[in-house]
Amino acid sequence: MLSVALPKGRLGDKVYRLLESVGYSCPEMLGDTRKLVFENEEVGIRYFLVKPSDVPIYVEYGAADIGVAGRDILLEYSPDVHELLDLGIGVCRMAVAAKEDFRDDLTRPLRVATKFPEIAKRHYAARSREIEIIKLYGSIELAPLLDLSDVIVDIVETGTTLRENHLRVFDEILPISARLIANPASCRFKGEEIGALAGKLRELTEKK
Amino acid sequence: MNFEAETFRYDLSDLAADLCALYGGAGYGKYRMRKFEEYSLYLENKNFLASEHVIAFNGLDGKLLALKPDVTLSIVKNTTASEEAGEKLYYSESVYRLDRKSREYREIGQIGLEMLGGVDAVGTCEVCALALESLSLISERSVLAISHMGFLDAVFRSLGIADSASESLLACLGAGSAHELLRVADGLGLEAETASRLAALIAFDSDDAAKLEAARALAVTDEAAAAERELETILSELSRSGYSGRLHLDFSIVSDRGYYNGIVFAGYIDGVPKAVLSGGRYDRLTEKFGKNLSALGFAVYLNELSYYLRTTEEYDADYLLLYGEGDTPSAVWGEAERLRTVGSVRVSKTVPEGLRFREIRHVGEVD
Repeated sequence: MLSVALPKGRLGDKVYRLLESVGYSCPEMLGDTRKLVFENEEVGIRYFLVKPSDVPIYVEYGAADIGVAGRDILLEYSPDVHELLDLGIGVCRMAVAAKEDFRDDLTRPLRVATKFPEIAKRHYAARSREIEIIKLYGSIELAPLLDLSDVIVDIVETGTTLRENHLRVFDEILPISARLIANPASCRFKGEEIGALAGKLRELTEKK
Repeated sequence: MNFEAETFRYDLSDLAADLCALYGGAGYGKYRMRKFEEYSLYLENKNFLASEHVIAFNGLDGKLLALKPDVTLSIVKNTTASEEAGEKLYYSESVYRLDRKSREYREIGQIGLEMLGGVDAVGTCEVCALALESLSLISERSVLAISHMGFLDAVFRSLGIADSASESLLACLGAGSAHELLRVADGLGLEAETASRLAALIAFDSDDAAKLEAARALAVTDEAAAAERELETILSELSRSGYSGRLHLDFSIVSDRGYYNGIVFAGYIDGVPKAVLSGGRYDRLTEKFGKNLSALGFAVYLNELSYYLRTTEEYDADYLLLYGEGDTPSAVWGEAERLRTVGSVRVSKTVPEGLRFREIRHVGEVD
């Protein structure tokens, strides 16, 4: 039995559809239910839906053998997991954005509002730029508009929210997509099952 | 994974004693050390440690000391071993480390062994076999995953990859991420065939044979070929010694090349999500101490096991022996002694809240 941690929301739905299409269906997932764990013994799969940022934690601690997490989350938390596959979905980019008329004042530390302090720290450390991190949990775009921060480091999908708020991307940090991750110990004891699932997903993503 | 996890019935102190007996039985002498060392030892070798954070304090003579975060460094610093007259040591010590996740210092029970000097094929297989035996003491469903830093180092050098760039490749290997490795290799301008061979070292659909084949193809220098042959020898010798199926080639096991120059390995137990054993060949560490000494060892991390070993008994004691106002101490003690021949006994005047007993008896009822 393989335990799979899926991120709640659109990405999780997409991943489930992918897994369903390669034979790992679990019909009760689609029902209107408050259940937390869904199981299909016949195909040997158990799913649970968790907060996207919690997926790597479930996998790292072995509560799930595999899971799907965005590269942003993996780079932010650096979990001890194996990254088996780039699923090529949930594609976006991590970027530095600011008000359209932003000019960097190099005489003082840059105030950076973000949900991803580790990624932001690494990005600016590589450029030897002193920063002050302002950790936020949502509505990041608001920070530069209210002069809470100079810039934001955040995920940009289409850029519509930025444009509508007179913000623009100044620097691209890295491309993001959803990754299939696995617990390193599970890879050693359930290697065949995990390899079979990953192989089917790889075929599917390569076709696309 | 935990839904099906095996519950290990093993007390940690029993396991520690069994591991020590295993190493003692193989002729390894017990190494004892004090709880602290000079802080500079750890500062100068911070990359060898799991974390550069150590608990430091001032000694009475003004020297800065640290609670030991590691045992191997002290052993290497103090050893008088030579290539001709080697030492075989084991230890069972507490180390004090910063937990990466909780950002708190933790006391960690660590048991390990070190072979210092004269590490040859026989010695290497002996240490690997003892690592496998250590895992067997915990569970038969265990594997030792083995890689070779000397091999990877030699391959990177033969490809003309600079140290900084090879760190990115090592990070991909360590993450078991073949797709990222291909991307990084492409960025470094490696040929597609070379990149796919590197990726085959860790691909989820590569078995040991495919990994060895990829390793052979990558080993174009004498140094890399020798390292690859060493891996093959270890795999075949230990397979012949009855460990077939429990030792796997796994290039996602990577360690700091500044210290490790040969095989590196990690041990896993089914049902435990993290490696419970790790080790390797660390001649480069002994070099840093000015010693021309081959060295190989491993440590078992008891703290990783503590969450998965079933140490909680179902009952707080087998019997609760209740006494009343009229019972004399000698009568109570006498009955408790008789009961102790068949189980643990707690004597009390009343039933203690929150505790569980297999059976409750009253003084006078004991047969």
